[in-house]
Amino acid sequence: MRGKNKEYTRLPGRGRTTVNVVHAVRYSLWLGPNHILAIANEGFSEDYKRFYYKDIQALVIQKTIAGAIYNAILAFIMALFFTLAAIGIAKKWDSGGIVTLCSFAGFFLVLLAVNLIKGPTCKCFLQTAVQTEQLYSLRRIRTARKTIARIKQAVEAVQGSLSAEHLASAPSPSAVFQTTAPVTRAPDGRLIPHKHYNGRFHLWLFSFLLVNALAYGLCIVVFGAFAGIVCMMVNSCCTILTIVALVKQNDTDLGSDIKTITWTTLGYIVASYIFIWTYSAIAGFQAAIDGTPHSEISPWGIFTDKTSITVVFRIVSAACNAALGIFGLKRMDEFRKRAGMPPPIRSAETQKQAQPGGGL
Amino acid sequence: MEKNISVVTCGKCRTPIPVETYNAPSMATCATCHTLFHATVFPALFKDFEKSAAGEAVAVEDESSCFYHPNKKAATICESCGRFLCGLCDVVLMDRHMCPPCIEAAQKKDKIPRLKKNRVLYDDVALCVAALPMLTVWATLITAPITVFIVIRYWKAPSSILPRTKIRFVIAMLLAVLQILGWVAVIAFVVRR
Repeated sequence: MRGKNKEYTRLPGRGRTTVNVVHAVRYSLWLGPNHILAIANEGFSEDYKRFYYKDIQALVIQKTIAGAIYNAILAFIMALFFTLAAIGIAKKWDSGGIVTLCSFAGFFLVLLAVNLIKGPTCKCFLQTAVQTEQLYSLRRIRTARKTIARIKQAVEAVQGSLSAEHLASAPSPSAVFQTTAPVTRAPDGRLIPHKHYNGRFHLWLFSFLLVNALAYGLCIVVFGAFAGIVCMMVNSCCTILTIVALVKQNDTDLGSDIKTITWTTLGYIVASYIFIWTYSAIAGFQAAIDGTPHSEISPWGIFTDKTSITVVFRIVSAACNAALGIFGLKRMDEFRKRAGMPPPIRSAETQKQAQPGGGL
Repeated sequence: MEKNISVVTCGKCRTPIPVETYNAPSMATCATCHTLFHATVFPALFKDFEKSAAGEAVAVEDESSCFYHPNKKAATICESCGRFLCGLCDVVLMDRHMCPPCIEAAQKKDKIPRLKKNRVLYDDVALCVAALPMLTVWATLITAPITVFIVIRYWKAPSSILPRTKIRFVIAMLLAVLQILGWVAVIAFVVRR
Protein backbone atom coordinates (compact mmCIF):
# COMPACT_ATOMS: atom_id res chain seq x y z
CA MET A 1 0.00 0.00 0.00
CA ARG A 2 2.92 2.39 0.65
CA GLY A 3 4.00 2.47 -2.95
CA LYS A 4 0.44 2.94 -4.26
CA ASN A 5 -0.60 6.43 -5.35
CA LYS A 6 -3.26 7.90 -3.14
CA GLU A 7 -6.31 7.94 -5.39
CA TYR A 8 -8.71 9.23 -2.76
CA THR A 9 -8.25 11.90 -0.09
CA ARG A 10 -10.49 11.82 2.91
CA LEU A 11 -12.63 14.94 3.45
CA PRO A 12 -13.50 16.25 6.93
CA GLY A 13 -16.71 14.94 8.46
CA ARG A 14 -17.80 11.75 10.12
CA GLY A 15 -21.47 10.84 10.23
CA ARG A 16 -23.17 7.94 11.91
CA THR A 17 -26.76 6.77 12.11
CA THR A 18 -27.99 4.03 14.42
CA VAL A 19 -30.29 1.59 12.68
CA ASN A 20 -30.82 -0.60 15.77
CA VAL A 21 -29.01 -1.63 18.95
CA VAL A 22 -26.30 -3.59 17.14
CA HIS A 23 -26.30 -1.97 13.71
CA ALA A 24 -24.95 1.46 12.85
CA VAL A 25 -23.96 2.98 9.52
CA ARG A 26 -20.85 5.17 9.28
CA TYR A 27 -20.56 7.74 6.49
CA SER A 28 -17.49 9.31 4.98
CA LEU A 29 -16.63 11.49 2.00
CA TRP A 30 -13.55 11.15 -0.22
CA LEU A 31 -12.12 13.40 -2.91
CA GLY A 32 -11.19 11.45 -6.05
CA PRO A 33 -9.45 12.36 -9.31
CA ASN A 34 -12.66 13.34 -11.11
CA HIS A 35 -15.41 12.56 -8.63
CA ILE A 36 -16.48 12.61 -4.99
CA LEU A 37 -16.93 9.23 -3.37
CA ALA A 38 -19.55 8.89 -0.63
CA ILE A 39 -19.12 5.72 1.42
CA ALA A 40 -21.70 4.19 3.75
CA ASN A 41 -20.01 1.55 5.88
CA GLU A 42 -22.49 -0.88 7.44
CA GLY A 43 -19.85 -2.82 9.35
CA PHE A 44 -19.22 -5.74 7.01
CA SER A 45 -19.97 -4.06 3.70
CA GLU A 46 -19.58 -0.70 2.04
CA ASP A 47 -21.93 1.09 -0.34
CA TYR A 48 -20.44 3.58 -2.78
CA LYS A 49 -21.92 6.59 -4.52
CA ARG A 50 -19.90 8.67 -6.99
CA PHE A 51 -20.65 12.25 -7.94
CA TYR A 52 -18.60 13.44 -10.88
CA TYR A 53 -17.33 17.02 -10.73
CA LYS A 54 -18.79 17.89 -14.12
CA ASP A 55 -22.28 16.89 -12.89
CA ILE A 56 -22.41 18.69 -9.54
CA GLN A 57 -24.84 21.60 -9.74
CA ALA A 58 -25.04 22.80 -6.14
CA LEU A 59 -24.16 22.07 -2.53
CA VAL A 60 -26.66 23.29 0.05
CA ILE A 61 -26.10 23.52 3.80
CA GLN A 62 -29.31 23.65 5.83
CA LYS A 63 -29.05 24.54 9.51
CA THR A 64 -30.92 22.22 11.91
CA ILE A 65 -31.95 22.64 15.52
CA ALA A 66 -30.62 19.26 16.65
CA GLY A 67 -27.57 20.90 18.22
CA ALA A 68 -29.72 23.35 20.17
CA ILE A 69 -31.91 20.49 21.39
CA TYR A 70 -28.85 18.52 22.56
CA ASN A 71 -27.63 21.65 24.36
CA ALA A 72 -31.00 22.11 26.05
CA ILE A 73 -31.24 18.48 27.16
CA LEU A 74 -27.66 18.34 28.42
CA ALA A 75 -28.03 21.68 30.22
CA PHE A 76 -31.28 20.53 31.81
CA ILE A 77 -29.79 17.27 33.08
CA MET A 78 -26.65 19.04 34.28
CA ALA A 79 -28.73 21.66 36.10
CA LEU A 80 -30.84 18.91 37.66
CA PHE A 81 -27.80 17.15 39.09
CA PHE A 82 -26.26 20.40 40.26
CA THR A 83 -29.55 21.34 41.95
CA LEU A 84 -29.74 17.97 43.70
CA ALA A 85 -26.12 18.33 44.79
CA ALA A 86 -26.84 21.84 46.11
CA ILE A 87 -29.88 20.53 48.01
CA GLY A 88 -27.72 17.72 49.36
CA ILE A 89 -25.10 20.15 50.60
CA ALA A 90 -27.80 22.30 52.24
CA LYS A 91 -29.43 19.27 53.85
CA LYS A 92 -26.04 17.80 54.80
CA TRP A 93 -26.47 14.50 52.94
CA ASP A 94 -23.77 11.85 52.79
CA SER A 95 -20.61 13.24 51.13
CA GLY A 96 -20.33 10.20 48.87
CA GLY A 97 -23.76 10.93 47.44
CA ILE A 98 -22.93 14.60 46.89
CA VAL A 99 -19.67 13.71 45.12
CA THR A 100 -21.55 11.27 42.89
CA LEU A 101 -24.14 13.90 41.99
CA CYS A 102 -21.39 16.43 41.27
CA SER A 103 -19.57 13.86 39.11
CA PHE A 104 -22.69 13.26 37.03
CA ALA A 105 -23.19 17.00 36.73
CA GLY A 106 -19.57 17.42 35.66
CA PHE A 107 -19.91 14.63 33.08
CA PHE A 108 -22.90 16.31 31.46
CA LEU A 109 -21.10 19.65 31.65
CA VAL A 110 -18.25 18.17 29.62
CA LEU A 111 -20.70 16.78 27.07
CA LEU A 112 -22.37 20.18 26.85
CA ALA A 113 -19.02 21.91 26.37
CA VAL A 114 -18.05 19.47 23.60
CA ASN A 115 -21.37 20.05 21.84
CA LEU A 116 -20.95 23.83 22.08
CA ILE A 117 -17.38 23.68 20.76
CA LYS A 118 -18.43 21.52 17.80
CA GLY A 119 -20.88 24.24 16.80
CA PRO A 120 -24.37 24.26 15.27
CA THR A 121 -25.68 21.21 13.42
CA CYS A 122 -26.72 21.05 9.80
CA LYS A 123 -27.76 18.84 6.90
CA CYS A 124 -25.87 19.03 3.63
CA PHE A 125 -27.31 18.24 0.19
CA LEU A 126 -25.54 17.65 -3.11
CA GLN A 127 -27.61 18.42 -6.20
CA THR A 128 -27.08 17.06 -9.70
CA ALA A 129 -29.40 17.07 -12.70
CA VAL A 130 -31.07 13.80 -11.67
CA GLN A 131 -30.83 13.64 -7.87
CA THR A 132 -30.50 15.54 -4.64
CA GLU A 133 -28.48 13.48 -2.22
CA GLN A 134 -27.89 14.15 1.46
CA LEU A 135 -24.23 13.95 2.54
CA TYR A 136 -24.64 12.27 5.91
CA SER A 137 -21.02 12.72 6.96
CA LEU A 138 -21.44 16.50 7.17
CA ARG A 139 -23.40 17.21 10.34
CA ARG A 140 -21.81 20.38 11.69
CA ILE A 141 -21.78 23.71 9.89
CA ARG A 142 -18.09 24.31 10.56
CA THR A 143 -17.08 20.94 9.09
CA ALA A 144 -19.50 21.32 6.18
CA ARG A 145 -18.05 24.72 5.23
CA LYS A 146 -14.49 23.35 5.27
CA THR A 147 -15.44 20.35 3.17
CA ILE A 148 -17.46 22.37 0.68
CA ALA A 149 -14.55 24.77 0.23
CA ARG A 150 -12.35 21.84 -0.83
CA ILE A 151 -15.01 20.35 -3.08
CA LYS A 152 -15.60 23.78 -4.62
CA GLN A 153 -11.93 24.01 -5.61
CA ALA A 154 -12.06 20.63 -7.32
CA VAL A 155 -15.37 21.31 -9.08
CA GLU A 156 -14.34 24.77 -10.28
CA ALA A 157 -11.17 23.26 -11.73
CA VAL A 158 -13.46 21.23 -14.04
CA GLN A 159 -16.48 23.50 -14.56
CA GLY A 160 -15.01 26.92 -13.99
CA SER A 161 -16.50 29.39 -11.55
CA LEU A 162 -19.97 30.88 -11.65
CA SER A 163 -20.02 34.07 -13.70
CA ALA A 164 -22.40 37.01 -13.90
CA GLU A 165 -23.69 35.66 -17.25
CA HIS A 166 -24.76 32.42 -15.56
CA LEU A 167 -26.65 34.30 -12.88
CA ALA A 168 -28.23 36.57 -15.47
CA SER A 169 -29.55 33.55 -17.38
CA ALA A 170 -31.01 32.02 -14.20
CA PRO A 171 -34.78 32.33 -13.67
CA SER A 172 -35.39 35.36 -11.48
CA PRO A 173 -37.81 35.13 -8.56
CA SER A 174 -40.21 37.70 -9.98
CA ALA A 175 -40.20 36.29 -13.53
CA VAL A 176 -40.58 32.53 -13.35
CA PHE A 177 -40.59 30.97 -9.91
CA GLN A 178 -42.37 32.35 -6.93
CA THR A 179 -42.46 30.61 -3.59
CA THR A 180 -44.42 27.46 -4.23
CA ALA A 181 -46.31 25.49 -1.67
CA PRO A 182 -43.89 23.63 0.58
CA VAL A 183 -43.66 19.86 0.40
CA THR A 184 -42.42 17.00 2.54
CA ARG A 185 -40.42 14.08 1.16
CA ALA A 186 -41.95 10.76 2.15
CA PRO A 187 -39.65 7.80 3.02
CA ASP A 188 -40.32 6.30 -0.44
CA GLY A 189 -39.22 9.53 -2.13
CA ARG A 190 -42.66 10.93 -3.02
CA LEU A 191 -43.23 14.63 -2.52
CA ILE A 192 -46.31 15.31 -0.40
CA PRO A 193 -47.62 18.89 -0.70
CA HIS A 194 -48.48 20.57 2.57
CA LYS A 195 -52.13 21.28 3.35
CA HIS A 196 -53.31 24.47 4.99
CA TYR A 197 -54.00 24.32 8.72
CA ASN A 198 -55.55 27.15 10.70
CA GLY A 199 -53.66 26.28 13.91
CA ARG A 200 -56.76 25.96 16.09
CA PHE A 201 -55.51 23.11 18.26
CA HIS A 202 -52.15 24.80 18.70
CA LEU A 203 -53.87 27.94 19.93
CA TRP A 204 -55.77 25.87 22.48
CA LEU A 205 -52.57 24.09 23.52
CA PHE A 206 -50.53 27.26 24.07
CA SER A 207 -53.43 28.86 25.94
CA PHE A 208 -53.71 25.83 28.21
CA LEU A 209 -49.97 25.96 28.83
CA LEU A 210 -50.41 29.46 30.22
CA VAL A 211 -53.30 28.21 32.36
CA ASN A 212 -51.04 25.36 33.51
CA ALA A 213 -48.40 27.89 34.48
CA LEU A 214 -51.01 29.66 36.62
CA ALA A 215 -52.08 26.33 38.12
CA TYR A 216 -48.50 25.54 39.11
CA GLY A 217 -48.22 29.04 40.52
CA LEU A 218 -51.31 28.30 42.59
CA CYS A 219 -49.66 25.11 43.87
CA ILE A 220 -46.62 27.12 44.95
CA VAL A 221 -48.74 29.54 46.95
CA VAL A 222 -51.48 27.20 48.16
CA PHE A 223 -50.46 23.82 49.56
CA GLY A 224 -53.59 21.73 49.38
CA ALA A 225 -55.37 18.90 47.59
CA PHE A 226 -57.61 21.31 45.64
CA ALA A 227 -54.63 23.03 44.02
CA GLY A 228 -53.15 19.64 43.29
CA ILE A 229 -56.31 18.39 41.60
CA VAL A 230 -56.62 21.53 39.46
CA CYS A 231 -52.99 21.19 38.43
CA MET A 232 -53.40 17.53 37.50
CA MET A 233 -56.50 18.22 35.42
CA VAL A 234 -54.92 21.10 33.50
CA ASN A 235 -51.76 19.00 33.02
CA SER A 236 -53.84 16.18 31.54
CA CYS A 237 -55.59 18.60 29.18
CA CYS A 238 -52.20 19.89 28.04
CA THR A 239 -51.02 16.35 27.41
CA ILE A 240 -54.03 15.48 25.28
CA LEU A 241 -53.85 18.77 23.37
CA THR A 242 -50.14 18.24 22.70
CA ILE A 243 -50.76 14.84 21.15
CA VAL A 244 -53.65 16.17 19.05
CA ALA A 245 -51.57 19.16 17.94
CA LEU A 246 -48.67 16.90 16.91
CA VAL A 247 -51.00 14.79 14.80
CA LYS A 248 -52.68 17.83 13.27
CA GLN A 249 -49.46 19.63 12.35
CA ASN A 250 -48.14 16.76 10.23
CA ASP A 251 -47.60 17.73 6.54
CA THR A 252 -49.21 21.15 7.00
CA ASP A 253 -48.00 24.63 6.19
CA LEU A 254 -47.62 25.45 9.88
CA GLY A 255 -44.31 27.18 10.56
CA SER A 256 -41.38 24.98 11.52
CA ASP A 257 -40.82 27.08 14.63
CA ILE A 258 -44.34 26.32 15.90
CA LYS A 259 -43.86 22.61 15.16
CA THR A 260 -40.61 22.73 17.11
CA ILE A 261 -42.30 24.38 20.10
CA THR A 262 -44.97 21.65 20.03
CA TRP A 263 -42.33 18.91 20.03
CA THR A 264 -40.51 20.67 22.84
CA THR A 265 -43.78 20.75 24.80
CA LEU A 266 -44.05 17.00 24.38
CA GLY A 267 -40.50 16.57 25.61
CA TYR A 268 -41.19 18.72 28.65
CA ILE A 269 -44.42 16.82 29.44
CA VAL A 270 -42.63 13.45 29.22
CA ALA A 271 -39.83 14.71 31.47
CA SER A 272 -42.29 16.09 34.02
CA TYR A 273 -44.31 12.87 34.09
CA ILE A 274 -41.12 10.86 34.67
CA PHE A 275 -40.21 13.17 37.53
CA ILE A 276 -43.71 12.98 39.06
CA TRP A 277 -43.84 9.18 38.89
CA THR A 278 -40.32 8.82 40.27
CA TYR A 279 -41.06 11.16 43.16
CA SER A 280 -44.38 9.44 43.91
CA ALA A 281 -42.75 5.99 43.84
CA ILE A 282 -39.95 7.07 46.17
CA ALA A 283 -42.43 8.81 48.50
CA GLY A 284 -44.64 5.71 48.50
CA PHE A 285 -41.70 3.41 49.36
CA GLN A 286 -40.54 5.80 52.05
CA ALA A 287 -44.02 5.93 53.56
CA ALA A 288 -44.25 2.12 53.48
CA ILE A 289 -40.88 1.82 55.26
CA ASP A 290 -41.94 4.41 57.84
CA GLY A 291 -45.20 2.52 58.40
CA THR A 292 -47.41 5.45 57.42
CA PRO A 293 -51.09 4.36 57.11
CA HIS A 294 -52.48 4.25 53.56
CA SER A 295 -55.05 6.91 54.30
CA GLU A 296 -52.32 9.39 55.12
CA ILE A 297 -50.34 8.86 51.92
CA SER A 298 -51.24 11.68 49.52
CA PRO A 299 -51.40 10.85 45.79
CA TRP A 300 -50.92 14.56 45.07
CA GLY A 301 -47.67 14.72 46.97
CA ILE A 302 -45.78 16.39 44.14
CA PHE A 303 -48.31 19.23 44.19
CA THR A 304 -49.00 19.42 47.93
CA ASP A 305 -45.79 18.55 49.75
CA LYS A 306 -43.77 21.38 51.15
CA THR A 307 -40.36 19.81 50.48
CA SER A 308 -37.74 21.81 48.60
CA ILE A 309 -37.69 19.35 45.69
CA THR A 310 -41.41 19.69 45.06
CA VAL A 311 -41.31 23.47 45.38
CA VAL A 312 -38.41 23.68 42.90
CA PHE A 313 -40.32 21.35 40.56
CA ARG A 314 -43.40 23.55 40.68
CA ILE A 315 -41.39 26.73 40.06
CA VAL A 316 -39.51 25.17 37.11
CA SER A 317 -42.75 23.75 35.69
CA ALA A 318 -44.54 27.08 35.98
CA ALA A 319 -41.64 28.78 34.21
CA CYS A 320 -41.48 26.15 31.44
CA ASN A 321 -45.23 26.26 30.86
CA ALA A 322 -45.24 30.05 30.77
CA ALA A 323 -42.28 30.20 28.36
CA LEU A 324 -43.73 27.60 25.98
CA GLY A 325 -47.17 29.20 26.11
CA ILE A 326 -45.91 32.73 25.47
CA PHE A 327 -43.51 31.73 22.66
CA GLY A 328 -46.14 29.53 21.09
CA LEU A 329 -48.82 32.19 21.10
CA LYS A 330 -46.41 34.78 19.70
CA ARG A 331 -45.41 32.50 16.83
CA MET A 332 -49.03 31.56 16.19
CA ASP A 333 -49.89 35.22 15.89
CA GLU A 334 -47.16 35.71 13.28
CA PHE A 335 -48.24 32.57 11.42
CA ARG A 336 -51.87 33.64 11.27
CA LYS A 337 -50.86 37.08 9.99
CA ARG A 338 -48.73 35.43 7.28
CA ALA A 339 -51.52 33.02 6.39
CA GLY A 340 -53.79 35.98 5.77
CA MET A 341 -51.55 37.13 2.82
CA PRO A 342 -52.55 36.45 -0.89
CA PRO A 343 -51.62 32.94 -2.18
CA PRO A 344 -48.36 32.49 -4.19
CA ILE A 345 -48.50 33.62 -7.86
CA ARG A 346 -47.60 31.09 -10.56
CA SER A 347 -45.85 32.24 -13.71
CA ALA A 348 -47.76 32.42 -16.99
CA GLU A 349 -45.58 29.60 -18.33
CA THR A 350 -46.36 27.16 -15.53
CA GLN A 351 -50.03 28.10 -15.56
CA LYS A 352 -50.12 27.32 -19.32
CA GLN A 353 -48.31 24.05 -18.78
CA ALA A 354 -50.65 23.04 -15.98
CA GLN A 355 -53.70 23.49 -18.20
CA PRO A 356 -55.08 20.49 -20.13
CA GLY A 357 -53.30 20.17 -23.48
CA GLY A 358 -50.46 22.36 -22.22
CA GLY A 359 -46.74 21.69 -22.41
CA LEU A 360 -46.63 18.91 -19.78
CA MET B 1 -29.81 20.71 -27.06
CA GLU B 2 -32.46 20.57 -24.35
CA LYS B 3 -33.07 23.62 -22.14
CA ASN B 4 -32.00 23.07 -18.53
CA ILE B 5 -34.61 24.35 -16.06
CA SER B 6 -32.97 23.06 -12.86
CA VAL B 7 -33.22 25.19 -9.77
CA VAL B 8 -31.67 24.89 -6.33
CA THR B 9 -34.22 24.04 -3.67
CA CYS B 10 -34.33 24.35 0.08
CA GLY B 11 -33.29 21.06 1.67
CA LYS B 12 -36.25 21.06 4.05
CA CYS B 13 -39.31 22.26 2.13
CA ARG B 14 -38.04 21.89 -1.49
CA THR B 15 -38.98 25.48 -2.31
CA PRO B 16 -36.75 27.03 -5.02
CA ILE B 17 -34.35 29.49 -3.41
CA PRO B 18 -33.74 32.98 -4.86
CA VAL B 19 -30.83 33.47 -7.24
CA GLU B 20 -29.37 36.27 -5.14
CA THR B 21 -28.61 33.76 -2.37
CA TYR B 22 -26.37 31.67 -4.67
CA ASN B 23 -22.79 31.71 -3.35
CA ALA B 24 -23.68 34.42 -0.83
CA PRO B 25 -21.03 34.95 1.87
CA SER B 26 -23.45 34.42 4.76
CA MET B 27 -26.44 32.19 5.40
CA ALA B 28 -29.86 33.15 4.07
CA THR B 29 -33.36 32.32 5.35
CA CYS B 30 -35.84 30.26 3.36
CA ALA B 31 -39.00 32.31 2.78
CA THR B 32 -41.24 29.29 3.31
CA CYS B 33 -39.87 27.26 6.20
CA HIS B 34 -37.54 29.94 7.70
CA THR B 35 -34.60 27.57 7.79
CA LEU B 36 -31.13 29.06 7.53
CA PHE B 37 -29.26 27.78 4.49
CA HIS B 38 -26.19 28.40 2.36
CA ALA B 39 -26.04 27.43 -1.32
CA THR B 40 -22.82 26.92 -3.29
CA VAL B 41 -23.78 26.81 -6.97
CA PHE B 42 -21.74 25.77 -10.02
CA PRO B 43 -22.08 26.41 -13.78
CA ALA B 44 -23.50 22.88 -14.32
CA LEU B 45 -26.82 24.20 -12.96
CA PHE B 46 -27.19 26.38 -16.06
CA LYS B 47 -25.74 23.98 -18.62
CA ASP B 48 -28.20 22.78 -21.26
CA PHE B 49 -28.59 19.03 -21.74
CA GLU B 50 -27.24 17.26 -24.80
CA LYS B 51 -29.98 15.21 -26.37
CA SER B 52 -28.96 11.55 -26.76
CA ALA B 53 -28.99 9.98 -30.22
CA ALA B 54 -32.10 7.92 -31.03
CA GLY B 55 -30.52 5.97 -33.88
CA GLU B 56 -31.11 6.34 -37.62
CA ALA B 57 -33.38 3.96 -39.48
CA VAL B 58 -31.89 1.54 -42.00
CA ALA B 59 -32.07 3.15 -45.46
CA VAL B 60 -30.79 0.30 -47.68
CA GLU B 61 -31.73 -3.37 -47.17
CA ASP B 62 -28.16 -4.69 -47.06
CA GLU B 63 -26.94 -2.00 -44.67
CA SER B 64 -25.52 -3.13 -41.31
CA SER B 65 -28.10 -2.85 -38.57
CA CYS B 66 -27.98 -2.80 -34.80
CA PHE B 67 -27.95 -6.20 -33.09
CA TYR B 68 -30.67 -5.11 -30.62
CA HIS B 69 -32.69 -2.91 -33.05
CA PRO B 70 -32.73 -4.50 -36.54
CA ASN B 71 -34.55 -1.45 -37.96
CA LYS B 72 -31.83 0.97 -36.90
CA LYS B 73 -28.53 1.61 -38.68
CA ALA B 74 -25.35 0.38 -36.96
CA ALA B 75 -23.25 3.34 -35.82
CA THR B 76 -20.45 1.61 -33.93
CA ILE B 77 -19.21 -1.72 -32.58
CA CYS B 78 -19.22 -2.85 -28.96
CA GLU B 79 -15.59 -3.06 -27.85
CA SER B 80 -16.42 -5.92 -25.51
CA CYS B 81 -18.53 -8.34 -27.57
CA GLY B 82 -18.11 -6.98 -31.11
CA ARG B 83 -21.84 -6.54 -31.80
CA PHE B 84 -23.08 -3.72 -33.99
CA LEU B 85 -24.76 -0.94 -32.07
CA CYS B 86 -27.06 1.95 -33.05
CA GLY B 87 -26.89 5.41 -31.49
CA LEU B 88 -29.36 4.41 -28.81
CA CYS B 89 -27.50 1.29 -27.66
CA ASP B 90 -24.03 2.84 -27.79
CA VAL B 91 -22.89 3.65 -24.23
CA VAL B 92 -19.56 5.41 -23.85
CA LEU B 93 -17.93 4.31 -20.60
CA MET B 94 -14.37 5.36 -19.77
CA ASP B 95 -13.72 6.14 -23.47
CA ARG B 96 -14.95 2.69 -24.56
CA HIS B 97 -18.05 2.00 -26.65
CA MET B 98 -20.05 -0.80 -25.03
CA CYS B 99 -23.55 -2.23 -25.15
CA PRO B 100 -25.74 -2.31 -22.02
CA PRO B 101 -25.64 -6.13 -21.56
CA CYS B 102 -21.81 -6.07 -21.64
CA ILE B 103 -21.76 -3.30 -19.08
CA GLU B 104 -24.12 -5.27 -16.86
CA ALA B 105 -22.02 -8.42 -17.24
CA ALA B 106 -18.79 -6.53 -16.50
CA GLN B 107 -20.39 -4.97 -13.44
CA LYS B 108 -21.47 -8.37 -12.11
CA LYS B 109 -17.96 -9.80 -12.66
CA ASP B 110 -16.40 -6.74 -11.04
CA LYS B 111 -14.39 -5.89 -14.17
CA ILE B 112 -15.19 -2.17 -14.03
CA PRO B 113 -14.21 -0.87 -10.56
CA ARG B 114 -15.78 2.51 -11.27
CA LEU B 115 -19.22 0.91 -11.48
CA LYS B 116 -18.84 -0.99 -8.21
CA LYS B 117 -21.59 0.09 -5.81
CA ASN B 118 -21.01 -2.35 -2.99
CA ARG B 119 -18.22 -4.46 -1.50
CA VAL B 120 -18.31 -7.00 1.30
CA LEU B 121 -15.43 -6.49 3.73
CA TYR B 122 -14.37 -10.07 4.38
CA ASP B 123 -11.41 -8.96 6.49
CA ASP B 124 -13.81 -7.24 8.92
CA VAL B 125 -16.00 -10.34 8.91
CA ALA B 126 -13.01 -12.57 9.70
CA LEU B 127 -11.82 -10.28 12.50
CA CYS B 128 -15.29 -10.13 14.00
CA VAL B 129 -15.76 -13.89 13.84
CA ALA B 130 -12.36 -14.35 15.49
CA ALA B 131 -12.68 -11.70 18.20
CA LEU B 132 -16.30 -11.44 19.34
CA PRO B 133 -16.78 -15.10 20.41
CA MET B 134 -13.87 -14.66 22.82
CA LEU B 135 -16.43 -13.05 25.15
CA THR B 136 -17.94 -16.51 25.58
CA VAL B 137 -14.86 -18.70 25.46
CA TRP B 138 -16.59 -21.92 24.47
CA ALA B 139 -17.90 -20.43 21.19
CA THR B 140 -14.35 -20.13 19.85
CA LEU B 141 -14.30 -23.92 19.47
CA ILE B 142 -16.66 -23.46 16.54
CA THR B 143 -15.69 -20.02 15.28
CA ALA B 144 -11.91 -20.53 15.15
CA PRO B 145 -12.04 -23.01 12.23
CA ILE B 146 -14.65 -20.81 10.53
CA THR B 147 -12.26 -17.88 10.80
CA VAL B 148 -9.45 -19.90 9.23
CA PHE B 149 -11.77 -20.88 6.38
CA ILE B 150 -12.86 -17.26 5.78
CA VAL B 151 -9.28 -15.99 5.76
CA ILE B 152 -8.09 -18.65 3.29
CA ARG B 153 -11.16 -18.52 1.08
CA TYR B 154 -11.38 -14.73 0.77
CA TRP B 155 -7.71 -13.75 1.04
CA LYS B 156 -7.62 -12.64 -2.59
CA ALA B 157 -11.19 -11.33 -2.79
CA PRO B 158 -11.37 -7.60 -3.56
CA SER B 159 -11.80 -5.55 -0.42
CA SER B 160 -12.72 -1.89 -0.03
CA ILE B 161 -11.93 0.30 -3.05
CA LEU B 162 -9.97 2.50 -0.67
CA PRO B 163 -6.37 1.42 0.02
CA ARG B 164 -6.45 -1.23 2.72
CA THR B 165 -3.85 -3.67 4.03
CA LYS B 166 -4.46 -7.31 4.95
CA ILE B 167 -3.71 -6.63 8.60
CA ARG B 168 -7.23 -7.58 9.67
CA PHE B 169 -6.91 -10.96 7.96
CA VAL B 170 -3.54 -11.47 9.64
CA ILE B 171 -4.85 -10.61 13.10
CA ALA B 172 -7.93 -12.79 12.58
CA MET B 173 -5.76 -15.72 11.50
CA LEU B 174 -3.43 -15.26 14.48
CA LEU B 175 -6.36 -15.16 16.89
CA ALA B 176 -7.94 -18.23 15.28
CA VAL B 177 -4.68 -20.18 15.41
CA LEU B 178 -4.15 -19.27 19.06
CA GLN B 179 -7.70 -20.32 19.87
CA ILE B 180 -7.27 -23.67 18.09
CA LEU B 181 -3.97 -24.30 19.87
CA GLY B 182 -5.64 -23.39 23.16
CA TRP B 183 -8.44 -25.85 22.57
CA VAL B 184 -5.99 -28.57 21.51
CA ALA B 185 -4.10 -28.03 24.77
CA VAL B 186 -7.31 -28.15 26.81
CA ILE B 187 -8.52 -31.33 25.11
CA ALA B 188 -5.10 -32.96 25.51
CA PHE B 189 -5.06 -32.04 29.19
CA VAL B 190 -8.55 -33.45 29.73
CA VAL B 191 -7.72 -36.68 27.86
CA ARG B 192 -4.55 -37.22 29.89
CA ARG B 193 -6.44 -36.79 33.13
